[in-house]
Amino acid sequence: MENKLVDIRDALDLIKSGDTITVSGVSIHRNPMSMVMEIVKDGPRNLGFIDREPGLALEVLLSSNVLRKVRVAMATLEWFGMLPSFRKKIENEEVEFLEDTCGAFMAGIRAGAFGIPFMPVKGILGSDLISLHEKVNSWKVVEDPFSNEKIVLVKAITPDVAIIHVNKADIEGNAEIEGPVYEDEFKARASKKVIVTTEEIVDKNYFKKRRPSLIAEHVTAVINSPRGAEPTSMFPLYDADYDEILKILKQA
Amino acid sequence: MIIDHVIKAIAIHINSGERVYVGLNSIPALLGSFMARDFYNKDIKILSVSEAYNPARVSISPSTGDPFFVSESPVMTTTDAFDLVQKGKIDVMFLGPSQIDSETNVNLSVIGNYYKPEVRLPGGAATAFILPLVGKAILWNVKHSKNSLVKRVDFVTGTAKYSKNKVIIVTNLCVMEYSRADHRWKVTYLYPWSDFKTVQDNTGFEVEDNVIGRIELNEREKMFLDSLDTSKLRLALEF
Repeated sequence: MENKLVDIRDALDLIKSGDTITVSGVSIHRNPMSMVMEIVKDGPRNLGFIDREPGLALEVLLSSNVLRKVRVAMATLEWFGMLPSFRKKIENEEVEFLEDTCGAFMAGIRAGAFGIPFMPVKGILGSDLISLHEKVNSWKVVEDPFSNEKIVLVKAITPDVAIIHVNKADIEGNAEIEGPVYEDEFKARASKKVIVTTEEIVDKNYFKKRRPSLIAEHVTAVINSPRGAEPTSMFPLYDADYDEILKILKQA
Repeated sequence: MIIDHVIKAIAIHINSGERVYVGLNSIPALLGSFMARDFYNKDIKILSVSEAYNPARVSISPSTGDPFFVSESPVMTTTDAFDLVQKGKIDVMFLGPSQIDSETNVNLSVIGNYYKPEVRLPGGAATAFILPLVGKAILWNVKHSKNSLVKRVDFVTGTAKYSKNKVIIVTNLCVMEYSRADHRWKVTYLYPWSDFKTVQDNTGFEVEDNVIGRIELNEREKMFLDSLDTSKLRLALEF
């Protein structure tokens, strides 16, 4: 069995300046915060960030001037309001922002996971998002060759690095996510490198007769990181730490 | 409480047999859906961004994507739910646009120019994708004014203009429904504190008086909402 267990600092070497990263979770839930904090402290800069509905991880990366480009469908901390750095940096034109829409992100990340060049997605026609994406060649409106109706094609999304926080992983990289999985399985399969941070390292026997959420084949490095999602939540182990989230927002 | 009336307005526009989807940052939509199912006993299925498949109950927290909602249900991924959208099997979706216009265009992206925004908004999430595909879109906005209900949105995040679906707006002043026959918004419900003239005076386009009722709230309905939202987080939406 290959041993992919590394120290969190060594995993930083997998991310290069200019890379595009994607992260696990949504909003204030299962963000890979231990790795995010390590990037902020001592990691590469000038990164791109792509995701569906990120929250705290994006705020921390933006407020620490790690990112130059962001592509998401929505950035929200929900009841806690909007990401202050997201608003400020885009309004001040300090980061390049491409707004996505959930269905298109899902199509793109699935195309990336499936190894195909693009995936069609229904809806969207009539949205001003189309011209933004056509300008950067990430979507195209074409005629469906079967129905002759117009449809949006989303170019495959293939991030350089996915950082996924999980409940359990073995040292080879087989990993289990409990509860909601979002697009994390697709993110791992679509990305060139995958860093898994885990609440717990389990024996290889754990995955016998089970289908892991992420199979070792896709995983580059494993980091033992108990409570690694804090202050975001980690189902079923801990809830989001609302006081700590408010503290981060006040510093922004 | 104004917000409780808004939630009730959402609940009464959900019908038995419907499959509804609730996204992030949507406390009124989540409470309205549970009110429809568990207080008015409508036979609906509630899917959500929390990936809880029609959970037995929820307790309102600062996130409508709270993963702990799956403690009482199986997990249905959002990807699976949105595949149902493409198959035409999601009947109701809720969106909270900052601007809505006379033609069902909605804006959750920017005030001003996209590349040089006066105000950057959170982004449309599923809006562009889902608004034309869902059977019934319920747009909620609790700051009804000429700045939110506008003649023309600054940016079309999404639109139902080319769709044949039902589009309803629920605000703090009224409920209105888009008529595809004459391309006009018709005011259908008011609240105890609102009248048609106030609605028209605060709307950036012409609306039609088609009022069929007034939404009022009784003590039992209020208690039901309190039982799901014990910390009264919904009050943050009062103004």
